[in-house]
Amino acid sequence: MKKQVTEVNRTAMVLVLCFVGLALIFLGIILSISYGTREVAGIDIIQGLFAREKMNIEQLIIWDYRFPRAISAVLIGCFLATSGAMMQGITRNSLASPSIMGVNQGAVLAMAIYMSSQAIPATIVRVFFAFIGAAISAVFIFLLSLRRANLDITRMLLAGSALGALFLSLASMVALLTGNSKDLAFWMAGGFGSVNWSTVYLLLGASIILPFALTLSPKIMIVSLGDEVAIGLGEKPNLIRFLAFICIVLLSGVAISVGGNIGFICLIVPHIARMGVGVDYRYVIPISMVFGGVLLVFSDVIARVIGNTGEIPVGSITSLIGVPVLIYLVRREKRT
Amino acid sequence: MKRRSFQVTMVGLILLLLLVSTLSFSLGTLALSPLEILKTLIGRGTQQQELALFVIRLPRILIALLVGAALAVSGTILQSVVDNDLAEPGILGINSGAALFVVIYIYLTNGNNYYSMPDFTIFTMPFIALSGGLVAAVLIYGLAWKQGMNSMRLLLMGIAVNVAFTSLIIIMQLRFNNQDFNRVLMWTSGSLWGTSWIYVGVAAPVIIALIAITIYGSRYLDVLRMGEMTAIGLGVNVLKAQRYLIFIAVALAAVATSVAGNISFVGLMAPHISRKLVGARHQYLTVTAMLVGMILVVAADMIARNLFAPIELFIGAVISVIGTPYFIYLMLKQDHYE
Amino acid sequence: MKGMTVMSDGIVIKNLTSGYEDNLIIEELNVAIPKGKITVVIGANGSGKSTLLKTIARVLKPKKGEILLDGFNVHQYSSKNIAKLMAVLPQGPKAPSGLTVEELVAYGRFPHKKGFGALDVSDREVVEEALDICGMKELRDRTLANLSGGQHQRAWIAMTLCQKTDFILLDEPTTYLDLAHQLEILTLLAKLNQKEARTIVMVLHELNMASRFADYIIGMKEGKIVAKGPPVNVITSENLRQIYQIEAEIMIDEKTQKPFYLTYENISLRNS
Repeated sequence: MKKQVTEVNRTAMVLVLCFVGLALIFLGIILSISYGTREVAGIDIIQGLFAREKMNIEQLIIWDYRFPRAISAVLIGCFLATSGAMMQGITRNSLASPSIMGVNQGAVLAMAIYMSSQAIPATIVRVFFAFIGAAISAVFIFLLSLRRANLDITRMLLAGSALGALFLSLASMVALLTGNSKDLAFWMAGGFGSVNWSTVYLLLGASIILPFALTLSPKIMIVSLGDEVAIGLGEKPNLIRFLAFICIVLLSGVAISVGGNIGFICLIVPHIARMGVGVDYRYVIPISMVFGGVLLVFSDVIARVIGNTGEIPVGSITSLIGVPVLIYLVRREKRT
Repeated sequence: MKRRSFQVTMVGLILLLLLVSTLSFSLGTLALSPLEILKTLIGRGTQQQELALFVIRLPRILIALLVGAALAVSGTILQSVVDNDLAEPGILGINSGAALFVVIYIYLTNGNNYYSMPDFTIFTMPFIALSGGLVAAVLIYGLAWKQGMNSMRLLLMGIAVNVAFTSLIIIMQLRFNNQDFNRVLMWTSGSLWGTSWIYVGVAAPVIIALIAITIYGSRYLDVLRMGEMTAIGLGVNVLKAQRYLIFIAVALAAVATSVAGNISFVGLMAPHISRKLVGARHQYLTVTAMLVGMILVVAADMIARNLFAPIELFIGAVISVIGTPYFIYLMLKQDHYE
Repeated sequence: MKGMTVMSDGIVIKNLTSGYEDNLIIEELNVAIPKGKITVVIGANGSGKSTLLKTIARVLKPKKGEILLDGFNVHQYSSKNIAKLMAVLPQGPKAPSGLTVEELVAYGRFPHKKGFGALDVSDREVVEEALDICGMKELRDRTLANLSGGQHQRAWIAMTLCQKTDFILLDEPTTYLDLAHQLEILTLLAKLNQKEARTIVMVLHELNMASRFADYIIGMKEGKIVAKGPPVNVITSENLRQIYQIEAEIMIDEKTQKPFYLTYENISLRNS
């Protein structure tokens, strides 16, 4: 009887947290829209949302520029956090994440190659490129981190950062060779400068993956308890890992293809989620989804606030927040 | 390693270095044959040749030699002090620390205009770089300390700190105006473009002095490599020796970074290759690593300059292409002995 | 105690408190290690024997108390000077690969050299002698990786011998060796003690070996000394019960006249 009660309590808590998260997202979007080089009043926002034809300059700015930006930030944050949470679930390690492991950087390189050969990136194709880049990178790292059939976290981190750094420097080289290094550099460092409504539609389309990830999350939880346990419960851990892998690569790929290399969200958010709701991935994944959006939309606002006229790329802000968290996590690991 | 084989290896490396340097001298927008190089050196070349050789290529290759030597020796010291073959100033974030401080310094003293830097700024750059490198080193060491030192943790902290500093550098870089942007990118990716005699004058005395000191202290490095307890037993004040040596390693890496930007992996590969050639005794190892480092950087610079001419690649990126797989290979091998 | 006088010029440990940051392993320890003898420290894992040795070897700094070597505080000597008095061999010593036996042994001269550290004629003689005593002359050009366990340890002991110190500290010198090599090493150390008058202090976990070779045994438990003296006084059923939680039978070996233990039973398991 007691166990059931705490189970209900936990689910209730998670739901409450989700609502809180959604509310924060809403707040974040409002903040994001209202802040900028041109101040926009509250009324304008509301009017801008509803009556497009009667819009003046301010309202157009909101509609064409800031609103998509805000929504993209939320969705990209959500995707990144989800892929991080899933990765940590299937590797059973709190330090695993696509950005530290070179997966994101693989996508960046693929994107850089693609963008340098096209004037205007066609959205679907570029996502495909990013996906391929991320997938190749992930497979590489995975193979390198295997050590007597176990996933060695130190190896993963070392190989991942080395490969990640390599891909980034290759990407800079590509940018250099094609002559638009500053713009590409800006994009690579992570930012929402180039988002518009079509990218938002792309992201919304990609969010079909999210419900799939949610249905996968109980399975991931079982896998996170250990392979023997999972098999004992009738699950197939490697199949689950494979499916999760696809999700991770897709989510990261789409996120990177729109937003560039935004790191650490995939590491920090799942960790914070675990601090709040414990290690059950049925809860960690949804919470990560919501709070990933929160973190990124607010980071974007911060980046714009600090940057004033010169934009600071969001990716740098998330890196700066993320590094202390990473340091803390490494120090906590018993095996390092 | 017998003295004889060491001497043979030395001669071989020096010859290789001469070969690569000559190649580097001759390739470029103005091709120079070895004969023309010699003629120009004794003052009988055309004005164009003199320009190419004395103003552009000679200082550049000298810097390549100095930077290669400095980074290689720095890596050698770090690997012995930390007792881990994966340690090197680039991976550990020391180079980014140095680079960050220099970029901030340039920004503060020159606005976002890279080219009008007065000589004074250039002369003070190594000191600024040194402070940056030391800050990074202290930070990493402090963060990695958890009831004692674990070299893997040190490496991971180095990587984390590296990311942080690099992000800050990127933020600073984006503030420079468009024309200077490529030039400023050297701080993250390394480049020898635009080096002049001033840089040589600034870097050479410091680097040469520090390397000489390192060679003089070779036996301390040997003993430290035997482990803390044995080193203490043999009379070495381990804490003091470690600090002293780390300071030298950081200084070497910082000065190299101040003239060439962040070049990683030289300090990793050079000592390792040298260990395969001449063994682990620092008396031989340090000098060998120095030569190997020189060869690596001169060769990489030559490739960076000429591969996609007239566009110049970043030398850091060129070296990463070999360096990263090498690093991963070393990492995989290391575990075999555990 | 039977005719055992503790001499004042050995290693005297006064009120020693030592350990790690949040974990003080030994507190207020007092003991004197006799000069010119072989002293063995025994105890269960975690009893503090390694901590004690490491503190004497200056790897750990005492939180309180002092260690006197020949009457002077060990931590007040300069690193170099203490290395001329006391040599240390850690557990599982390691050296850079590719080092030959002779090169390793030559490092024993380190505390006596300055500058580049080149060896002169007298150094070379010391190295020769050390190689000879340890029976490593034929193996001088072999790399360390190509030696058997016993040869490897002999090479390291030769290095400590080369230091020409009065005291030699060894932390479990026989742990990674098989039986034959264990005997080889301990016999060598006994020879060093008798022929070269070196004071040997070592941590051993093999009790019967300790009994056979030691002149003086220090038994530790949970950071305290619970027994000390010649083997015949220390290796008793009661002490073993206390130190190792075992019930053992003690007999006297006819050949060596030293006590050894036979078939034992684990007390803590008895009641389960």
